[in-house]
Amino acid sequence: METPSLLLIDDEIQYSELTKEYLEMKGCKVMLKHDGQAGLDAFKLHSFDLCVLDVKMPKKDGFTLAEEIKEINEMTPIIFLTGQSLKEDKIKGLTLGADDYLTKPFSMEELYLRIKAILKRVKVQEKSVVIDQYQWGDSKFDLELRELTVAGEKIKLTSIESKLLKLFCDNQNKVLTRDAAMMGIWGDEEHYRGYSLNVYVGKLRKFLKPDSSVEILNLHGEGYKLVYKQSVAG
Amino acid sequence: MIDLSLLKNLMSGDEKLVARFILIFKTQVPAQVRQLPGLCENQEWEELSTSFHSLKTQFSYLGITEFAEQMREMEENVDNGDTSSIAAGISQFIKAFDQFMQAEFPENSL
Repeated sequence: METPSLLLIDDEIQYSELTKEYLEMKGCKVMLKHDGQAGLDAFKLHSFDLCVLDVKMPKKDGFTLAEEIKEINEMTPIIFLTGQSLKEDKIKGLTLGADDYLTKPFSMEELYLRIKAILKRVKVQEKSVVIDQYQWGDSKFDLELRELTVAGEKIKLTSIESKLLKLFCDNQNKVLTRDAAMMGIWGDEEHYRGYSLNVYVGKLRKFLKPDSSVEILNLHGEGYKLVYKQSVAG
Repeated sequence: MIDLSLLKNLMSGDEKLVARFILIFKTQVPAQVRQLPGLCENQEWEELSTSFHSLKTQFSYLGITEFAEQMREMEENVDNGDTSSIAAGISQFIKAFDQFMQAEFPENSL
């Protein structure tokens, strides 16, 4: 498992240091905050794989904080820590989208194992939602078959054409830099690939020409942008 | 009264973490307990509830279930606005807590 980045928010200042140290000993990177507002500020500024929240905290309780975190990033896993063992609290926490719930006193090892299990589950889910079909207007692109259908005409794409079109589709209406494109296709940024990239972009432009809803723009000094009026992910 | 085996288990057998927990407990808990009567007298109910909550957790880690239960009850009463018996409850608790500290940590007694 890569080093997981955790946000731990607990108002028990001294004891939470022990939890932080234990998790760090297990290979996690932990940022510790002691009230809900400080936790939210940290969440906005940094990127975390998982949040561990105490429920009863000053300034902002754990439930409110969880709602605000989910508004910013719905996919962030959350574990609640609480001294309360009321069934209603547990239900409320899980309703808010918490992935797990530990009642104090909890075992450090149990907390770590639960974090590990959630992160493993999240990774599997991420892998299972890989998009391999895209559609826009009357056109569609099947990554697995390497087949592009434009205005009813099926075009067989080469491996490189498919990789490049997927990169464009995954970055719809965003800049795709030349370096990112070359890395995505060939796994390097060698400049001698630049000419080849131009050729492949040109070919894709030609294939897509009959579809007026989509266009590949040149952005001088930056790269390219695939622009279309509606979302293409299918 | 202290259940060290529970704490060791919760700290995954890490002796250093156990020792640090006890040290924090010995310094932090008596100070928190001493603040309870003042918070009650000044009707600082939110602060009082937070203190009960914190003490409850700390007692739970050491397996001191009797104190943990008393803290839970008083926290619940304060949260529900039922504060009539809190002062008496605190007074009774402090007597028992002082005895506990003298027995468990004589070098640290109040």
